[in-house]
Amino acid sequence: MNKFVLLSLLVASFTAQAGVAVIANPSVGDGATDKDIKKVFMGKKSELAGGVVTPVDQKEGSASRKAFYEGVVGQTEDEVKAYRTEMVFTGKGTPPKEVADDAAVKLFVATTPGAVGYIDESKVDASVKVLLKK
Amino acid sequence: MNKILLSLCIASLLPVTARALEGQVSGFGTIGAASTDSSQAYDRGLDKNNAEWINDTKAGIQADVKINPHFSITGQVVAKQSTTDDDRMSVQGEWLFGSYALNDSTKIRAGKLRLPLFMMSEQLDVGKAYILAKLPLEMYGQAPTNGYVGADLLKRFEVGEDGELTIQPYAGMTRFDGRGINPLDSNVMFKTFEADSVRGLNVLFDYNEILRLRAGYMATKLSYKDERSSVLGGMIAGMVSNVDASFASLGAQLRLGHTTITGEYGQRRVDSMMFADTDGRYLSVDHKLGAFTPYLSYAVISSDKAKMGGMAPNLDQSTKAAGVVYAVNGNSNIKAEASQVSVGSANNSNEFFNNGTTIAGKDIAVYRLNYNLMF
Repeated sequence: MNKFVLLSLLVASFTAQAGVAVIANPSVGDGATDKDIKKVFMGKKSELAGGVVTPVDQKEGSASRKAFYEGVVGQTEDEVKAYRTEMVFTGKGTPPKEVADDAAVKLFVATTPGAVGYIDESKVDASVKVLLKK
Repeated sequence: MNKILLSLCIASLLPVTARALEGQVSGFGTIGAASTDSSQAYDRGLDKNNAEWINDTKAGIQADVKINPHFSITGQVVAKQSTTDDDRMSVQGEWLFGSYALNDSTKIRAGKLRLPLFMMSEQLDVGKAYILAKLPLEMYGQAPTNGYVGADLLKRFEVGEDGELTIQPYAGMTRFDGRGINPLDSNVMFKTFEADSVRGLNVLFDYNEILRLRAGYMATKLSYKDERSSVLGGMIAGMVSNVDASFASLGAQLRLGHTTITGEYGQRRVDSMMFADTDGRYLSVDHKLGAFTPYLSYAVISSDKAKMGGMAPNLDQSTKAAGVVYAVNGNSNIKAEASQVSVGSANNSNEFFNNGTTIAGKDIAVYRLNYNLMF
């Protein structure tokens, strides 16, 4: 039992240290930069490689969300929340749709043309395309 | 304009009738109390007799519906101090507009929109979205209304690596309730005016969330639209009939680490003896220290004393304010502010006081405490 617990902890630790991958539906074109992805998730850009994209977020508190916003967008979750609230109440747009976790993001992105999301890079599979990793 | 909005709505709805619409409902509110040490009612009803709740308390709800990736509709209603009665609140429709994004950098909006006259125009009712307990009356009090029915174009340009320039031309019209003092009985009165053929340009430059600069100009024709059968109504109609009115403004905000400096200047001109030609400005500095953000601000308004041979009213006052914001959490905060309003000797306008002439040359203290939240 102890060996199982130790192994589980090691796996969990390894999983938590994996990077975040920005993924997209295969219909989305290549060539997105960190800056492009930041703009898409901050409501300042709705197109990538000439096509309209739909960003999808994870719920607050998820490890992937924290890694994505700190690593790719360069802001803390609190800063993002404050920015988005102001965006809503100044009539400039609405935040991305939120789903529960990595699995839900992957499913949404794989089945929605133009969708862009982020998941733990260890969860990436052939159903989605990777735009960048952090 | 409403027909155009309706057409846009229908045109965008047709191809997606089978698809679920994406919607979001958000809310905000302020519970605020304010009082002064003066018996002379200031800023729509504050006086020393009690803590006034109606002046600062607001509650708003907003719905955003995304019809398709290009088109969305936004509506917002706010319960706040009535535009026709200082002593009661009313529910007011602030926004109802359709927004169509032609591409990433170009957006057209039509419907009931906010006039972009100030740095904080779009978040005027959302106390959580700015630092000061009350936006300076000397600047923000120059505009008798903040909404219009019409359309605007938002065109964004990238400037270098981190800069963004937004050009916003707009046009439309608005009706509003002008507040004044009836010279016959000294009671507060509200009269309806119409600003026809409103046209303006708002220019905004943002640099890497450090610097924001804005400039705006709005011109319109102003007319009295209330009853004119009485002596007073007839007089106002004679003074305010298709007169030129304009508002020019500049603003800057600089964020240096935890310190933010904000300044704005606005110039109102109305070709009528009934309104003062004013110049308002303020400067504020705030510094974030953990959950606390103390701030200082200084605001001034002055007017052309020689306008219409000295017959037009004059606004002449300044306000020094010190306050602190406590962040309860990411969605709410508490603000406390003490300020001193110094009323100049030339002040004889009823715009900010119920009867300006009796308090000219005096100082009054104003205290504010409010709780702000967004959800």
